[in-house]
Amino acid sequence: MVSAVIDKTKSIGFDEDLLLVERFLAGDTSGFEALYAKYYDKVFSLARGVLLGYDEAQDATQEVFALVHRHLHRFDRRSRFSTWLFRIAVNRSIQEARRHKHSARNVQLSEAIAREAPPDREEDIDPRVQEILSKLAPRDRALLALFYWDELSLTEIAVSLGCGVNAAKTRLYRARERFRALYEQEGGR
Amino acid sequence: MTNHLPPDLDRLLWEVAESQDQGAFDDFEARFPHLVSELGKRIQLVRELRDARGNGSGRPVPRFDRRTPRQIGPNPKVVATFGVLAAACLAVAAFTVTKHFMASPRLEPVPHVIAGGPTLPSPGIVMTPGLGSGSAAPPENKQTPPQTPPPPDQPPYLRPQKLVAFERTKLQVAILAVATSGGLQVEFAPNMPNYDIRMEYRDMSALDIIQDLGPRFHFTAFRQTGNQILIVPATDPNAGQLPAATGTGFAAKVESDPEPVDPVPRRARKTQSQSTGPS
Repeated sequence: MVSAVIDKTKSIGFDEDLLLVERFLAGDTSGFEALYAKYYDKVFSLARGVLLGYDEAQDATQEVFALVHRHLHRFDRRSRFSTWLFRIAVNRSIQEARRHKHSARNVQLSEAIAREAPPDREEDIDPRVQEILSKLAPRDRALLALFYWDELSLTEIAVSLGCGVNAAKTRLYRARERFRALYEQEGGR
Repeated sequence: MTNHLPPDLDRLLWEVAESQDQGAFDDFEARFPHLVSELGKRIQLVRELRDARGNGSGRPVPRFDRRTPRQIGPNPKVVATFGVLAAACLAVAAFTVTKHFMASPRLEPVPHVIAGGPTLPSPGIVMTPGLGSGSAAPPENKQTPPQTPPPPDQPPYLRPQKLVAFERTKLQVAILAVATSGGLQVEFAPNMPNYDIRMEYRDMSALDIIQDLGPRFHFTAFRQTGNQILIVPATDPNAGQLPAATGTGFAAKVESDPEPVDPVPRRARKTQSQSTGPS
């Protein structure tokens, strides 16, 4: 079975994650646990970059892995497992961000006040960067998080976003320029 | 200042800033000394952006929560609104279609038979059986011609009806109603016209009425065996003079303007003898 998996992956380079996937699909739950432990931080970073809130990001990360756990048999192995995972994570995080944007309009005043002063945590994003990111579109935030926080290559970003490499490059450039424009505005205050 | 940079140089600036390579910084500084401050800003921006990630989740990886993924789709309120609208459209469409199908073969009103009614209800029909039926009283306020008792063995379609009137009904319905009242069975040939008509006959038998209607509405009633008649939508050139009948009556088409085409009541031909019914 392992040799068959390796044959499948020859064209895209060996992806050791596929072994874990096959283990999980063969009934060994430790395969999924290993994937979860390996990618939790990266998916969380992406979700954090898109959703900005810690709890929302944690929730979204669990949702992403729940989806992966449920639909792993649909993974067709034409791409690396990680890019498939990031694609799910990007889409889910952007959906959640849109949902939060709508629900935020209906937040009660008391809730809003409670959210104003979150407890200081060392894992919080730099407030200045967070404020700038919050002014960007969720897709731009996803691009920046994938590139700067998860340190994916342009090719991996392209696969994760479901677009070509050149399109990913252009989108990243524009997202970065938007960020810079806001960054300079904030610095000029 | 950066707004005036050529795109290629702008991209190069980003690449150098992201490279974190001192050699690349030095090389860029040597080639573009006037952009050193811009490079410094971008290196700072990239550093801040990278460092903003912090310590990842900052906590140990939590246990995997095998929850059922939440369905994220269109806003339920939007879905509900569209659902209600779609249901309403469906209901209206169903109602319209049903109404259309029910209206297309328009059901004619079933004529009511009112025995001895002195006046004509409007719209409607009054059919008063003749003396043979023995159940009708003649209207008191109307002058009726003197009645002669029919022979006891006379078939019902030859017995004079006191009053048969339709204010507005279809020709075929009127013929059927008259025939039924006289115990006749009617069969229509194809292409039989079906105008809206009005008619009023007094003291005429069912058969006489149907035969009187023929020339008015361009059909011929052919007597078949027994009490059966065939209505053919053509006038019989050999029919000649209509057989004599007792009573009076008229009939006319009712157009969109309800004025009758032949408003002058036709005086039915007097019979020379009661026994000479149409054959």
